[in-house]
Amino acid sequence: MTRLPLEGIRVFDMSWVGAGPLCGAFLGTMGAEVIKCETAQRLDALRTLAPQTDGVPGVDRGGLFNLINHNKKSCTLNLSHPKGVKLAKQLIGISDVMVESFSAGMLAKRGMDYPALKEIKPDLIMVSVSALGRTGPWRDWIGYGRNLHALSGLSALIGYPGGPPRGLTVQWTDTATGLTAAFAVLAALHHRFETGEGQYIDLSMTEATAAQLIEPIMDYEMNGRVWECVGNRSDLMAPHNCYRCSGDDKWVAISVSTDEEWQALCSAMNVPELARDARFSNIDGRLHHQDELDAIINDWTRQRSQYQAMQVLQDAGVCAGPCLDGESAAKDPHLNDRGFYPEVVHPEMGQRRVIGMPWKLSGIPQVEFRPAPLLGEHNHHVFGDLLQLSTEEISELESQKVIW
Amino acid sequence: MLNNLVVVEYASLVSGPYCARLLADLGAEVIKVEDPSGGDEARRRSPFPGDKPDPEKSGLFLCLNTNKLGVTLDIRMEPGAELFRELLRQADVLVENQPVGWMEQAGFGYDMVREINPRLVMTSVTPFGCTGPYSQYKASELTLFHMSGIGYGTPGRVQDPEVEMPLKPRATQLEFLAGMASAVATMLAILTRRETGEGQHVDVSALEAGALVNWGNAAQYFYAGQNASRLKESQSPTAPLHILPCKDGYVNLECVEEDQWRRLVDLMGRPEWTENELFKDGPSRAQYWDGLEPLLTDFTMQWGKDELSAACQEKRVACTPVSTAADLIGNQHLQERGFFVEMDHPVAGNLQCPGAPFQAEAAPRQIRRPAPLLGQHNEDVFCYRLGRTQDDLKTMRELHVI
Repeated sequence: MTRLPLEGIRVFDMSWVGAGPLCGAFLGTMGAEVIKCETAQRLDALRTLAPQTDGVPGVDRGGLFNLINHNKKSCTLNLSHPKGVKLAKQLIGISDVMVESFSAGMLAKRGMDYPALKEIKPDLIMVSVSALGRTGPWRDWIGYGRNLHALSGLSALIGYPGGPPRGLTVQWTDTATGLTAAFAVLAALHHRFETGEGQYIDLSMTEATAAQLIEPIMDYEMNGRVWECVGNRSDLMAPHNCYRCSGDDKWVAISVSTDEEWQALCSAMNVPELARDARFSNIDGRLHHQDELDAIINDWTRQRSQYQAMQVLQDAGVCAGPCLDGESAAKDPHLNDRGFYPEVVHPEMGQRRVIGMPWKLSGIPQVEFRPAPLLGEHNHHVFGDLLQLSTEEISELESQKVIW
Repeated sequence: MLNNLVVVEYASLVSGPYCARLLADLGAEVIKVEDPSGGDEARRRSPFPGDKPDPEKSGLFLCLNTNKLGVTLDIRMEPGAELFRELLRQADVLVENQPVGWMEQAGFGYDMVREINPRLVMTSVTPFGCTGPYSQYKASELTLFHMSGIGYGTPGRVQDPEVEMPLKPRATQLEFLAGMASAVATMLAILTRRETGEGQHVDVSALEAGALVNWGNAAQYFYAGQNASRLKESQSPTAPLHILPCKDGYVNLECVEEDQWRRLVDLMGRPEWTENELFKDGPSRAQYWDGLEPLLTDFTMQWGKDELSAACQEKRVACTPVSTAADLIGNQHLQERGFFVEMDHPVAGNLQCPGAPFQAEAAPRQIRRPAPLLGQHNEDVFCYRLGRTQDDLKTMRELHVI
């Protein structure tokens, strides 16, 4: 019988959008009962953002929402109503972990900050996910994903050689923070099992991202050097870039770390004179003549599809891989073979794919993925089964827009 | 928080060592096992002070290996293999990032490791994962980054897609993400062991850690059948949502809600051009961004990046500086929160580097010990813990086992 790592753990998840919900998806898929606390008064933005499934709008049709809210339950609670706050506190009282990403001060105003919740549940693990953390002079700053990419130092590292920082539009900080939050929760659960103690975790998205920028930070710390943009290039390897392939905006990434790999690349491209060219015979020469080198490789890659180029080069022992976009990553044979985009059947969206997890545990041969919950889908379970309210009481609270 | 865990690390460069450092930061005892022929490859990676390579002074190595003990051991020959088995018998976790199949050949594949210690969690972090059609392929951080799908969002929309190729950040960010994913998965296995009493094999794919980041573009495809494009015609939904230049660098300025735009207009002193019909709402501003950008730049160029960010934030407008490493180290907010920790290293001296990625009540950010010198704890570990004598140590040194 497969034992999921987090069976018996209940997570009350008051977070929304990207970072917190990703954390909840990891925990839910790994066996925790994750109760997403939402409200119709202020929906999780991912429920209504594009893409809406097949272009038909609805609170239960958000593609982004389904993608990262799988394996959770949903209850609705209006926290601007005192009865809503009371119910939330009762639910936190029977939970092991609470995750939130409200703006600063919101919970304190409702008597739901950590010191108050600790009174209700002494061994609670509470994780606050915020842009810059709950302390420090900039704690009240607001920022969306790209703001935080910029602030954390990541955006400044992305740009063409000698050009301005260009930044990124993918959800890097949400993802890095979601993983970091999951790690924090698991470590805190371990600590609680050992000592009986809960704790408060203050997680800044900026810090979760910046903590991984060790190389530029240490170069500045040691040498006072600030990194400029270098495109895809490296100080250690050449060639080291993306090269144009056949097809609309298709590219292949190639990197060569040794003279042996360089010789292999020349043979694979079938240009023996290149292998004998003294300009490129060692790493210093290749680094010095990168522009010429990149032009030569581009001529070869242009005549091939990105997968053909990868295949020929990998067969020759050269490190190469296609630059994938959303669609080609979704179709990539390796990611699919590993089940990275598992399928769920959602009552409104139908048969759809969600995001998997970047690990496989030998103790869990088959992971079960369940679709994201409908808004308030589990109200009767949460308020009826868990809090022992009668059907009449629940209806009453619904009509008062408390359960809402 | 993880004080009772013993972790053996047999890993190099970033992904495995970062995973073990995350565990070490929270109190786990990490014994880093390096090959006696020169140790972790990161010891040869820049940055170095004054750009002078020195295996004890790599900034990357020093920062990735704080709070660990370090021993040298050739695990492919006896008596090194026996010492490694003894270490594994006392450990809770083994973290490794060798090429797929290498540990099996060395006699330490998971099946063999389970014989040695059935309670051990073995975490393998590899470029593609231990299974699947690419598992034996060569990989670098560059190729993994671009294969994961992120590159079409870095830098996102481009003017001329023929010359502006997909980019990756300078530095090896994907490997760090893989390290964090490994730490999550390792803790899942540790928690499972409480109930089952058994360890397991944890197979982490760096490619998939990267592919996670791409969830926005994946959703476009799975739910709307659209492939997010880098081409400029595919406009952003609103504007500004951009990096703009300042006197001393750049800011990232976002007006996602119309109220935020109105408050930004107030801050700009309501110049006449903001009345232009073309800039009336987000979608329209995005459409006419080419006209709007120079006007906004005239404004942002009058400010310093921190000064402008603070002025915008005062009005609840989401503006932040584009930080360089210098800005991060000098950042009062981060310093006050204790984000940077200080090490006092016997060879490299006093340095600060980023500490744990969050503040946990039960594990304050701190460096208990700097990164180990190559083989620094051989005596502590092999003699005091595993009962070898000084003579044994001498013999092993002569045989290049340690």
